[in-house]
Amino acid sequence: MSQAIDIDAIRIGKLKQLSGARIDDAELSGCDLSGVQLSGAILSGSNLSRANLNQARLEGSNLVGADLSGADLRANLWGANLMQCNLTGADLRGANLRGANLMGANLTGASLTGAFLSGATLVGCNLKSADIRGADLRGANISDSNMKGADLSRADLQGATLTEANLEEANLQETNFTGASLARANLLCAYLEGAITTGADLTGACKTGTLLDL
Amino acid sequence: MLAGSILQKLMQERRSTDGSDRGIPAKTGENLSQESGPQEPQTSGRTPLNFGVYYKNTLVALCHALEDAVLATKTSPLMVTAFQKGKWYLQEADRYADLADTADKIVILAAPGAGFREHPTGDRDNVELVDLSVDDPVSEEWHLMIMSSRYSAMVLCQELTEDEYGPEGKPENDLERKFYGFWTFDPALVKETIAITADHVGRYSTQLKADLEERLADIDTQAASKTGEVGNVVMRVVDYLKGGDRQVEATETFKFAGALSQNLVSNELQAYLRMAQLADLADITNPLAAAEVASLCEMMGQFLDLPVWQMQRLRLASLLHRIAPAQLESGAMDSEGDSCPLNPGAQTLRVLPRLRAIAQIIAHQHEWWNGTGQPAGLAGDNIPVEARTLGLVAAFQHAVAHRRHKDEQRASPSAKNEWQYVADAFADCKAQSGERWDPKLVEILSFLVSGLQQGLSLPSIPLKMTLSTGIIDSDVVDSWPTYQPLETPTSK
Repeated sequence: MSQAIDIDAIRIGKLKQLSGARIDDAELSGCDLSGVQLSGAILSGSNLSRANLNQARLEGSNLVGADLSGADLRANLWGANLMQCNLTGADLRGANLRGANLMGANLTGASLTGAFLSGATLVGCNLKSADIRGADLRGANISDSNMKGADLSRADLQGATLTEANLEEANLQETNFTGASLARANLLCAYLEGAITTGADLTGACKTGTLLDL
Repeated sequence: MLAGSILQKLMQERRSTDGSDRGIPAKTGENLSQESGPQEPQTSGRTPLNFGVYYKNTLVALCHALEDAVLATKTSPLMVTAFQKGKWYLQEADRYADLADTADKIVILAAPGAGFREHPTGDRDNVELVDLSVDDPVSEEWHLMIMSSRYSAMVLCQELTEDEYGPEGKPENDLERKFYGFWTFDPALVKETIAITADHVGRYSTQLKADLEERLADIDTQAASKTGEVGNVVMRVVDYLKGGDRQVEATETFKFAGALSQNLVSNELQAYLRMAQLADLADITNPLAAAEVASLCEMMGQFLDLPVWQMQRLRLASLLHRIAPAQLESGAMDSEGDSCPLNPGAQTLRVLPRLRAIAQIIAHQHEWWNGTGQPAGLAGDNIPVEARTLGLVAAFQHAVAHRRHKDEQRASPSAKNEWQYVADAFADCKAQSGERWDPKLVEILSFLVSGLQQGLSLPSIPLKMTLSTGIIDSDVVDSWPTYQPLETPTSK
C-alpha cells in the first residue's frame, strides 16, 4: 500500500485493512483499533498511547519508537519490531510476541501475563515491576535488562539469556530457568521458592538473600 | 548471607523444620483448587521469609516508628537490638533511655568501641549491653526485636558486602547504605528469632541467655497477634516513612534520591500488607483469606475482561480487604451529617494518595446490589465493579473456610470433601443473587466454581508482594485512567 493514508478514517474506525500501510509518526492515541489488520505496517514513532489494539494483527509490523503506553496490545505481534517503544503499563496479556524485537523498550509496569515471547529480543529493556507471570520466554534474550521487582512466577525461561540482568526483589516462584544463562545477573533478594535452575549458568551472579545463598 | 548470622540461622531453622518448604503457607488457592481427597488442615499461616532490600534511610525511619510505638503503647516489651558498631548505638542511646522507662528488658548488641559502655543508658537495671567479638557475623547485622503480649515487631537485616554493592561500591552518604532482610509484626516469627538470638548470646553470657529464654516463655504470641495495636503502629510507620521521604526531597546530596524515595513509599504499602497479613494470622479459621480472595478475584477479573489497571487495583484491594471488616461488623463507623459513613480501616489507606482508589474498593465491598448495604447504600452498577467482585468473592471464600473449620472442629468430622463446602458456600451466594450480590457476578462465580471442579487451577498471587502491581510506580500509575468517583451516594 503506497497511497496516503487517511488518519482520520483510521481514528474513527473506518479503515480495518491496513496491512503494509505506512502510518509512521501518526497521532492515534486513545483510538479503537481493535481487530484491525496491520500486518507489516509501519507505525514507527506513532503515538498509540492508550489505544485499543485488542485482537489486532501486527505481525511483522514496525513500531520502532512508538508510544504504546497504557495500550491494549492483546494482539498478534509475531516478529514485530518494537525497539525503543514506550510500553509503560501496556496490556500485553497473552500477546503473541514470538521473535519480536523489543530491544531498549520501556515495559515498566506492563502486564505480560501468559504472553508468548519465545525467541524474542528484550536486550536492555526496562521491565521494572512488570507482570510476567506464566509467560513463555524460552530462548529469549533478556540480557542487560532491568526486571527489578518484576513478577516472573511460573514463567518459562528455558534456554533464555539473562546475562547481567537485574532481577533484584523479583518474584521467581516456580520459574523455570533450565539451561538459562544468568551469568553476572543480580538476584539480590529474589524469591526463588520452587524455581528450577537445573543446568543454569549462575557464574558471578549475586545470589544474596535468596534460597541459593544458604 | 553471612554464615553464623541470625538471619542465616533463622533461614536454616526454617528450612530444617519445614522440610521441603513446608513452612511456606499453602500456595494461593491450594485448598480451593484441590479436587478431592482428605484436606490437610490449613497450614499454620506461618509467615514466609521474603527478603527485601532497604536503604539505611528507610531502616532508620522504620525503626524509630517501631520504637516510638513502644512508648505510645506502653506495652513493657522485651527488646533485643543489634547496632553493628557501638558508635551507631551511641546515636540512639538517649532514645533507648526513654525506652528503658517502659520496656521490661532491653538487650543491646554491638561491636564495642567509641564509648559503647560509657553512656548512662547502659547502666540501667533493665538494660544489658553485649560486646560482640570482631569476628561475630552479628556485628554486621541490624536487628530490632520487640516482643510483648500486646505488640510485636521486628527488623532483621544485613548490610551488603563490598562485592554485593557492585562496581559503584559502597555509597559515600551513610543513609544510602543498602541492607537486605525483612521486617514483620508476626509475633511467632519475632519470638522464634529472639530464641535464636538468645542462643547466640549464650556464647557471651549463659545467664543472659537463660534470662531471655525465661522472659520469652512468658509471652503469649497468640494474644499478641490479636491485639488492635498494630493499626496504630502502621499509621505511625507510614507517617515516619513519609517524613523520611520529605527529608530525601529536601536533601540535595543524595546520589540515589529516586531509589531512596521509592524504597520509603514501597515500605508504606508493605506496612499495610503486613497489617492484613496479621489479620489472617490471627484468624485460625481462615488464615489464607487474603491470598485466596486475591486469587479468586483475579480469575473473576479475567472472566470480566477487566483492563490491567482495574485488575491490579482489585488484586491489591483483595490482599488488603480484611483491614476493613472488623469495624463494619462492630458498627463502629463514623458518620458526619448526610455523608457516607467512614470505615476507619479503609480510611487508614487514604493516607497514601495512590491507595485512595484501593480504599474506595475496600470501603464499598459491603454494599448490597439492592441498595440496602453499607456504608453508602449504593445500588446496582453504582457500586464499583471491583467492590462488587471483592464483596462476593470474600463472602464466598469466608463461607468455604468457615464450613471447613466448623467441620474440623466436630468430635467426629463428617466425610464431606472440599467440594461440598464449596457447593454449599456457592448455594448461599446464589440464594442472595439480585439482593445482596450482582446476578452477573454470581453467574461468573458459578462458571469459576465449575471450572475449579473440573481441574482449573487458580492463578498464583505472589506471596512476596513485589509491587509488581505498578501501584507505586508513578510513571505507570499516571498513565492509568483515573478511578471514576462515585455518583452522589444514595443514603439509606
